[in-house]
Amino acid sequence: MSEQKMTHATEATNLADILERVLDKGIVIAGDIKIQIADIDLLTIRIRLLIASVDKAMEMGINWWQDDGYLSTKAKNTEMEKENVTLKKRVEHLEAKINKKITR
Amino acid sequence: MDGLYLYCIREKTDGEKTLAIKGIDEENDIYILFCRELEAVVSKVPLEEFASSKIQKSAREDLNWIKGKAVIHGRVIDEAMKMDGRFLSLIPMRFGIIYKDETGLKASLEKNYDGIMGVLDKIRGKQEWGLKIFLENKEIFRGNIRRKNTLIKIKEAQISSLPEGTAYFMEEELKDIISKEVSKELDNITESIFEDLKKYAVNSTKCKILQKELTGKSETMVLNAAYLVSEREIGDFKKEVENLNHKIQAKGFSLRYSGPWPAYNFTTLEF
Repeated sequence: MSEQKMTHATEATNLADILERVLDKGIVIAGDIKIQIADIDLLTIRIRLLIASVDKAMEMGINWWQDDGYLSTKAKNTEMEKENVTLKKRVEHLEAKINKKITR
Repeated sequence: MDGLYLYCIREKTDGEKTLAIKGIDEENDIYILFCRELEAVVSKVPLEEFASSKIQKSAREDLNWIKGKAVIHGRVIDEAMKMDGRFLSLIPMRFGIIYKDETGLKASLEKNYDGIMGVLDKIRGKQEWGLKIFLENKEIFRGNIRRKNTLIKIKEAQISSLPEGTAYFMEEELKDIISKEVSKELDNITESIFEDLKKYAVNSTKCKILQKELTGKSETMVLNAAYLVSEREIGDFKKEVENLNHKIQAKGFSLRYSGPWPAYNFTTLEF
């Protein structure tokens, strides 16, 4: 009989079911001490915030990963440097040609 | 010094004086405190821990602590409910009720004795079963609404014949109409199922819709209900759920039941 609980195949004992019942339902009898738990709505909000902060962390993580295209940026820089050098050389070459014409 | 944590109150049994399961502090055993025709299911808890402000802080802020303790609380009650293959009449307590000593608890039971007996009598021979409806396939559901609703059809036809700029406002209007139809249809579907299953129950109630964050499921919960069902009706109740589930799947929904639960939803009177 104990297996009768959650007999439906698709229904596993869900933590949400337990939380909803244990924290929100049942009789409240005046004891000497009461441990006051956040109610289920507040819990949902807390979990949502938790998930949101995880998202944020992931977002930051992704940015960090994109920034770590450092290596590729570096590769790009060296290419530009090379291009710079060749262009400078061409400019120098042209300038030299012009100078020659002027002096003639 | 030790206090007493109270899990539930149940009808008198001739069973053992202890349960083979650890209590809320994960150290002390569960035992039964007798009071006339009642049994209180309790375990000892160290007061320096359980009466501390630190524990109150955990209870408000530490999700893992809450989860762990709530699961233990629930499990103890599940165990206390079962005896020799049957389910006892039992009142589950809400989480977190502690007495300083046995005298205090017994005095409280005596004071509320008639009320407690009244509730136990009311739920004797009955079980709480949970019922949830999930929207599994939004596309099927929306598609059905589009096909059925003539106003939506007309608007859609008009929009397709208009130039883009002019169509914009009509599209907004159409969105509005669709969302109204969606909530109307959701109400119709959930309400008719909720009502239909009442036939098999002596009492029923709607519970909070649990958000996805809590359920960890991707489908949207659209109904969360609880029924108090007589033992002899449980077979028929389940059959009807299966039957309704079969029908509703074509509309993009699914139905799930769970139980038997301690009667959390039908013992909510406060002392």
